[in-house]
Amino acid sequence: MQALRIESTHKTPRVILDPENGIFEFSGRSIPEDALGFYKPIFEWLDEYAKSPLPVTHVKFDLEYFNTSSSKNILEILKRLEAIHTNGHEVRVTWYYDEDDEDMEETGQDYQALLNLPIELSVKIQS
Amino acid sequence: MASSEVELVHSPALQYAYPLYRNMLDNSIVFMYHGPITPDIVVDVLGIVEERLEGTGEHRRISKKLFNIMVESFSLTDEMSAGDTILMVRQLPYLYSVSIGRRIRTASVHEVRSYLDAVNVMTPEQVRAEYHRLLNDAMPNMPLMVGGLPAISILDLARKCNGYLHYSFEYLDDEYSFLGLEARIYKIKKC
Amino acid sequence: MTYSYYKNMQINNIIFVYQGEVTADLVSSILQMIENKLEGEGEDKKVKKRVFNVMVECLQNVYHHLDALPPTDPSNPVKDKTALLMIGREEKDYFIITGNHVLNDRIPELKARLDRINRATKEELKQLYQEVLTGGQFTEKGTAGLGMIDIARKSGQKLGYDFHPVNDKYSFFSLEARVSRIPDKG
Repeated sequence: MQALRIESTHKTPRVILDPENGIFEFSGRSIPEDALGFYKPIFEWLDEYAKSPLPVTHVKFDLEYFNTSSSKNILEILKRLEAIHTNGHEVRVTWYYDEDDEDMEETGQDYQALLNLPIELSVKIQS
Repeated sequence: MASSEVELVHSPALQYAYPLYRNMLDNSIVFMYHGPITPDIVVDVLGIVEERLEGTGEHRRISKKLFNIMVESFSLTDEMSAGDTILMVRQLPYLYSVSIGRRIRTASVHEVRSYLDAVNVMTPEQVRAEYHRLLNDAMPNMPLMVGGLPAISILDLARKCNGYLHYSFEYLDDEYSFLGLEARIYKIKKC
Repeated sequence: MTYSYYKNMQINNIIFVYQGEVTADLVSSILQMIENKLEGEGEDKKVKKRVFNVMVECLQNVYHHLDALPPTDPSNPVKDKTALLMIGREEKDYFIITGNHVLNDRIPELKARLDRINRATKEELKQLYQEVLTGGQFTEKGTAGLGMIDIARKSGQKLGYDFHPVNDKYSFFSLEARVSRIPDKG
């Protein structure tokens, strides 16, 4: 299976999905014109990965800001990860947020509440 | 050279400059944008707000909130409202606010108003629960709409500003009305 | 409240308006927005460049003017370090309006300068620019003296202006530059 790599733009996040080492990363901003158009290939990739996932998959979310249509799509991503985890292949999610960003912290808590998936909230180290 | 009177171009906008300046100053309006709101505009306007907050000693927490509110408020516009949208940012010593003004169908006014009133009386826990419900329930490409506005965006804004969403309606004609929606971030909690 | 502002902006073809302190970073953020907006509108390349260049001059002009002002007199109710920046688009032209407070005793000099600029032909403007640059007729400290001449040259149109009295010490000075949307003009 090929890795999925999408470079960031000033409206869409950087996405790195590596099936070799099971390290997935979403970082940057998400305010795309066509949210579904952007996220659909990611869903499809994850559906493919779910057929033979690694024993452990690490997922990192390090987002600056995003709108609610992105929130829904991110939830769809997390639901697929949840399914993989529930089927016995461990998935560990780290949700990074800026210390001063209450909204990002709350969104992480929302996902924790909505899913049976280990989501760790982690404060970003200021650069 | 004969001193002929220089024909002065006095455009309407020039005539309006001082009144506009006074209105903005007196009502603490920092900037206004009128036109279609695209993700590009979002990014650029955020850049301007960022400069505005820089070096004001603002708590990073507030600037983050303001950002996040602005990002979400753009979701309240669509193709229908495209050319007739106004974005306004106000800055006072004790609050910031982001306002979106757009056209909506007069037939939808009652529905929108009822929804905003319902959200405004919810407790923070109720808002959160309703937000979760909408986040989880609908398919990403079929969101619940209230008079042309995404319900989830309204809830998200209510959550982010921890208070009321202030609104105003202006009846234009039987087809269209104008909705002004304002999300405020208070710097100091008085009650 | 939102509606009346929206209506006024629509009637006057205003796209963007800012009120407040003008810093160098703010200027560059505004220019970034304008650049992207022009890009998005699909304007002719020449027009885009011209509008952008005039905008840069106008914003620099007000920035330098404000910068050169003495600290605000605390007894003065007028905020003389704040400015108005307005950008709009009409059918034939873009317009850029900047506004800031000026001392009333500066008005005659400013008016004379503006009228002189408006009377001048393209060639005369070029000469005027050289004069000021080499410290000729208009003895003006810093770049503020060249600013308005530069704006007039780059825009290719007369400068509009207005002085609105505020109190016995200050007036509000609005300056308008217009840039044609027609590629061959100006």
